[in-house]
Amino acid sequence: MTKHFIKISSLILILVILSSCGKEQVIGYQKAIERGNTINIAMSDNGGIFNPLFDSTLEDSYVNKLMFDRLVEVDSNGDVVSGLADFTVDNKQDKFIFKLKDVNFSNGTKLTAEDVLFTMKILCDPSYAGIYDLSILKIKGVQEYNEGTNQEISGIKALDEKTIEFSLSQPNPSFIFNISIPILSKDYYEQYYSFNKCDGLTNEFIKPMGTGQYIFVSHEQGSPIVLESNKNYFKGAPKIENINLINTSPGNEVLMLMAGESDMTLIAADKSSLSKASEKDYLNTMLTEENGYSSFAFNCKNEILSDKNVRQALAYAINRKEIMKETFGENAGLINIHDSVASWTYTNEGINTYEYNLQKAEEILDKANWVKDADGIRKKDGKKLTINFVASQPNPTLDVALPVLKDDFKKIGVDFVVESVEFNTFVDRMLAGQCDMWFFGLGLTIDPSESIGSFTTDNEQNFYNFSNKELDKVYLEGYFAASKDKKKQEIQKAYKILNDELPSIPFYQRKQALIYNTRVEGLTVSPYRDCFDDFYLISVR
Amino acid sequence: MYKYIFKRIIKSVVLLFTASILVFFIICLIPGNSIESNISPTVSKEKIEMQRQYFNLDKPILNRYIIWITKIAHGDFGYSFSYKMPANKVIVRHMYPTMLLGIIALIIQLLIGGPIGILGASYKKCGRYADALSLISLSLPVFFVGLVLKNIFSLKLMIFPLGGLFTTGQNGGFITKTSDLLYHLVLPSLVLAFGSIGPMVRYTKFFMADVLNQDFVVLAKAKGLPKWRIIYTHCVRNLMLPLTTIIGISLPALFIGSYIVEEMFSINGMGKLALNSFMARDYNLIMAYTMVLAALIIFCNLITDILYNILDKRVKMGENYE
Repeated sequence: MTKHFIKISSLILILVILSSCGKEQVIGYQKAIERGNTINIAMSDNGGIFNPLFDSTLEDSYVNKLMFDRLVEVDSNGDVVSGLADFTVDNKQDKFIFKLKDVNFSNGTKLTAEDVLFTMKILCDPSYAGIYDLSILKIKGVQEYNEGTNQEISGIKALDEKTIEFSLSQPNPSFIFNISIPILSKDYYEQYYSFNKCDGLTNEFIKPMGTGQYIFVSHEQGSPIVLESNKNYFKGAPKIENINLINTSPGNEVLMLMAGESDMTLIAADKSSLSKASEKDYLNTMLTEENGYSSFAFNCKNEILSDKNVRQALAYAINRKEIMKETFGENAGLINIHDSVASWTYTNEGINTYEYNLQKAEEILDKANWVKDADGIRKKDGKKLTINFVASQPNPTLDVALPVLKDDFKKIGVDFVVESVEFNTFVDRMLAGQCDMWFFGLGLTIDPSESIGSFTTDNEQNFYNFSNKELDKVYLEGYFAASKDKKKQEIQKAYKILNDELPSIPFYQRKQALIYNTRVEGLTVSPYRDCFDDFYLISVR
Repeated sequence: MYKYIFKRIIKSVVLLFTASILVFFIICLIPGNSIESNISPTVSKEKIEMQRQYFNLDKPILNRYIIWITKIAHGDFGYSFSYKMPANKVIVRHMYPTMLLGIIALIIQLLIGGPIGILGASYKKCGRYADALSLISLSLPVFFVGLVLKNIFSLKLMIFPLGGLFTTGQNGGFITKTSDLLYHLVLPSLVLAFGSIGPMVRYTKFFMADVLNQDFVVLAKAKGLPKWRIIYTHCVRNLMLPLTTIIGISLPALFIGSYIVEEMFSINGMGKLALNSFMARDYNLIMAYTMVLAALIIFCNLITDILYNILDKRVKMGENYE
């Protein structure tokens, strides 16, 4: 049998060798050219939810961006600009008036204030399980509507067919950032919705219909999502006639581009994908920062970690640069504050970079009276310097970081205990305050003050149990600042406090890669505005 | 026989009910849930709490189970948190690609593994090749075979597509669509079948060798019948019984084990759905998936038993089981 086993194995080996030495194909580019004025976009993780109020994956939101427009939008600098409506804000920042533009839905009906009201009612419905939460915007009457005691939301009024007014129970400068919500047609979607019954709105048999750049044509299981251009789009007719959005497995997006089966993809940049893309002359790559960051966070309620010196010493003992380089190469950037490098509030001025320095870390711990014991672990008042790290796995960063941290922390006399759990268990433990230290990624919103808000004393997103009166004060001053300059000044002051206090150590900001066939022209991408926002401007050669 | 089938159906319902209790309680005891893991600065704690109440996640597990089982009795599998639609609709949407893939892989497995096993037992020289082939099939991991085939046939030779179920932008009638679907399923089903061909060859070879030693085969040989006739007229018929058992076991196994193939060839099927729903703690979806799977296994076993009765009249099901 050995002889036959060798024979068959040899045959398989030849096939494997054959597979790695195939001649360079130009068929890929030709295949793409043959599609003409139709563009294929490869994306993974498409959940198939074609209602922008309910989408839960980034890919679904890309699809919905092509079919729906928002009340207000964000430009590439992160500033709020008009979308479906122009807006005015009163001085007290508790009344916002939106004047709707002359826009039609793709079925020909006019966009009116009633459509905005209808959309807001869905978002306030008790059965609504989507990503928006109007209760945080402090709009009057949201709670009463939600509880069913009032049939209207008292804080949202249609002044005429094209004007809608939002009244808030207290001034909220963040309101305008958070009201960037897609608008549904009341006339079209009303039949699928009744109070306390939102599930009809995501029914797979509903053809999505909005004011957007493209119109939904079809989508069957296993087939791409097919869209056609909306000739009457209010910003101008799209140049590309048809779009096919192909759902594929993660990692397959670039292979599809190489084979000419797709024209573009927007993915988190990684070494392997970018290297594959660079093999083909007809593929280009555009890199931009993702609007989010990753950090090592501390539970400041913990007796040991409540000491700022320990947090700072640990920051010096983490070789962030090398860990990041090993994990992502050039596809991520080191950050020293809790903000995107692309943000108008980002600063490096007066910020301690906590360069890797074990000696410095030891000095800080010595000064703070953490004394090394015979076993090499430091002690203070009889208490061992033990840190319990809860790691959410799988995570490529932690695969690289944990062995390095264990080793370096041991050198400075820290007993580093790691417990690996899966994501949901990690979240459960973190929310229950059962982690001393952890690593996680956080998305940023358009409003830069929200990132600081999560470190303020009473904020419900304060997972760090951190409290600093000065930070609370500076945050409020920045939050209610009348001018952009004043806001920037206060936010940067807050970053300096956080940089010194270190309730969490900012680590890196990943990049996203827009990889596309060279026949596609006019693509733009920024952390705040991706290529799907302005798809109508894109053309093909 | 009808009495037996009726009894088996009743037993199956009890079995399903027991499975549902076990799975429900195990899943609910795992930490985390899909609503609380939705950490976002734009979602308040009040909203999360409200959602917990709306979807009964704040209630004790027993109460939740009673609510769930009552809904099931009305054909409602509950709401999928991650897909934002009823769980039964999500299951139906994802079931057919996996079913199709599993059935085609089973046919390939039978068409390749069966004859090789028969030949392997009947002819000594073929036997060695059959053993070598089954060893390779058992040793090579599915993902490796998939990557090699994909690299050769999709990326280099561009004969088959990289993944999906239909060609992008292709419009056509039923025949065009079906042939396009089958064309897309060639590589995935070959990869899925590859790992099962080995066991199939081994089983068939083992049972065939057993049949070849039976007295009636010796008699047929003594009568001077040609070997091919003895094999195909007398032995293969006797091979049907054990093969039926293997098929009965194989179908649910292919259904469960298709995750890697689905992921590799971008097929949005049940394997991927099961993993995603578990990672998202989408309780209703996990339960719906588990129930469908349990029902499939029970159904396949029932069909196997019925086929036994049809293929071999000596098996009197009602009498044997009473």
